[in-house]
Amino acid sequence: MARWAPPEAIASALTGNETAADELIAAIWPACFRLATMITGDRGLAEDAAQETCVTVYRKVRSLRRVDAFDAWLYRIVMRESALVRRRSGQVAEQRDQVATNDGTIALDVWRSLGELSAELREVTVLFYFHDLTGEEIAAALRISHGAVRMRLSRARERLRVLLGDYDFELRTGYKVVNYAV
Amino acid sequence: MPSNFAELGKHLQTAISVPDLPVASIRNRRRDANVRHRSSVSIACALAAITVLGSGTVLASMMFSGVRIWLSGDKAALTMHSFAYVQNPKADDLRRVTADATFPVVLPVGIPKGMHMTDLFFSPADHPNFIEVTYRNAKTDARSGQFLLFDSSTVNHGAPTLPNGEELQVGQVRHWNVGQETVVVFGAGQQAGMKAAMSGITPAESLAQTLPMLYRITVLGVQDRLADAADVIAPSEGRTALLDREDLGQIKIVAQSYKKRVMFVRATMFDNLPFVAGKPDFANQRSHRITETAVSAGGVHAIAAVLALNVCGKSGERMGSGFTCEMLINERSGRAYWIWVLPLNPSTPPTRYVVDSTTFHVLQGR
Repeated sequence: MARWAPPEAIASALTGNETAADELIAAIWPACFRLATMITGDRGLAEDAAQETCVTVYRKVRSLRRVDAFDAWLYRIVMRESALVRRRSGQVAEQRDQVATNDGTIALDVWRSLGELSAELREVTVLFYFHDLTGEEIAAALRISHGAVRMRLSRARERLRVLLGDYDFELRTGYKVVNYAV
Repeated sequence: MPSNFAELGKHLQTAISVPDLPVASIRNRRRDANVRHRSSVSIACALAAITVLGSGTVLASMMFSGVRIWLSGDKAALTMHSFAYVQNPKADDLRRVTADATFPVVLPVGIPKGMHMTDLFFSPADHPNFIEVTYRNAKTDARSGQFLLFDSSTVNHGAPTLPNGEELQVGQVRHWNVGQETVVVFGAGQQAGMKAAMSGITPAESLAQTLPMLYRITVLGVQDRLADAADVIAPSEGRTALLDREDLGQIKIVAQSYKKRVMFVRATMFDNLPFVAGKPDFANQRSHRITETAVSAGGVHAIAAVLALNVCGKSGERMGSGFTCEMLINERSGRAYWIWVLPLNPSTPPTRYVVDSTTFHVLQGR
């Protein structure tokens, strides 16, 4: 699982130190925004979700007991807030093409293919392929069963193969996707 | 560009440009979240001993606007689908709510000294038949509990079951009548002295006794231990607001922002509060807020001028936790700004500064 912030920064924030919480928020902000952008497909919604995530972290980080629980906890918050803002806005994924990137490129293939996926399939796709989360970690982040993760991932791959036939979906850094075949 | 889907996606994600951390916006959201949290905690506490029925039940068609309650012994059930919430209510808020209520409101009397009214709930917002008040001591953080005041016409007494056949759940509520009002409290402890005190008093007298327990100033912090001291020294004229360290930490950003004012949420109206398994579902509630200016653009500059004197330490961090004081500002149209620096150490007396309203020079401090 990806590290959102240095363990020592998380440990300091867990003590209730407000300055440490500020530093933790500054550290996690870029990753939160980027993940929310991938999930919502819209920068405005993503900023909304990322800000709400920061608010939750500020208010509840002290309730965490272990540093190693932080990553999974934060994934859950980002995914929940992204789903909430998307549901409230009623927006669908057509806006995905509007997401600009630093280097000026817009990877239309990937954006459009993600936009073709349902919200449920998009979530597992982003977490599995782009964040290298395991099935158990995705299940924990989305509060669904491991079986549901497998099923969604399998459906997502079927759909993506149709949309992006030229791309390789079998290999992922350090992990074999084939384990998730239904 | 890699042909591997995972690598391409990671590359794409890394390339997404990230906006600057919106500190001011997150701070505002934190404040709102605190208000929501307090609302939910207060409501949850208030309803802890009461069975709450969602508006989607068979009772919906029988509901009064706002609230209806069933009482039987120490058991109670309640229906409610909308309410308004005011944090740190002011005299005008309380006067308006009691004047608009559908019943002559006798407010709780005999509240211990040092208490201030911190929360005011009412439902429905226009003509309440239900009012709930909560008191708190800012210094000790002690709470005197919650008082639920109902229009007696909304109360069904002595019914062992609800109209839908459900039995009332075991509860711990105590209730009594004062005129057309039904008072509900939790636990016998609160009932003892209050019942007699409220029976021998008129609505106007109870209001007069309650008004001194309201802050005259706008308290921006959620829980502010200096609020009592600030309220004492605040002038009766003009608009006065107390800024805690976090507020002070944001002054520089606010001064540079487009609106350049410090806003606060005067009231939150929950228009459609759904209930799930008897508990308010705040995640799916519909609400809107009434916001007002707490400190004008000029006031923000005046505070920045005093902060520049380093009389309050330095912010040091984004949220102002390095400051050693809070500030009280009084604004009167066309007049100089008065700003009191209130040290966090209560043994150090406050210092007043006067700031010119046009040049923002600090004219004097004493």
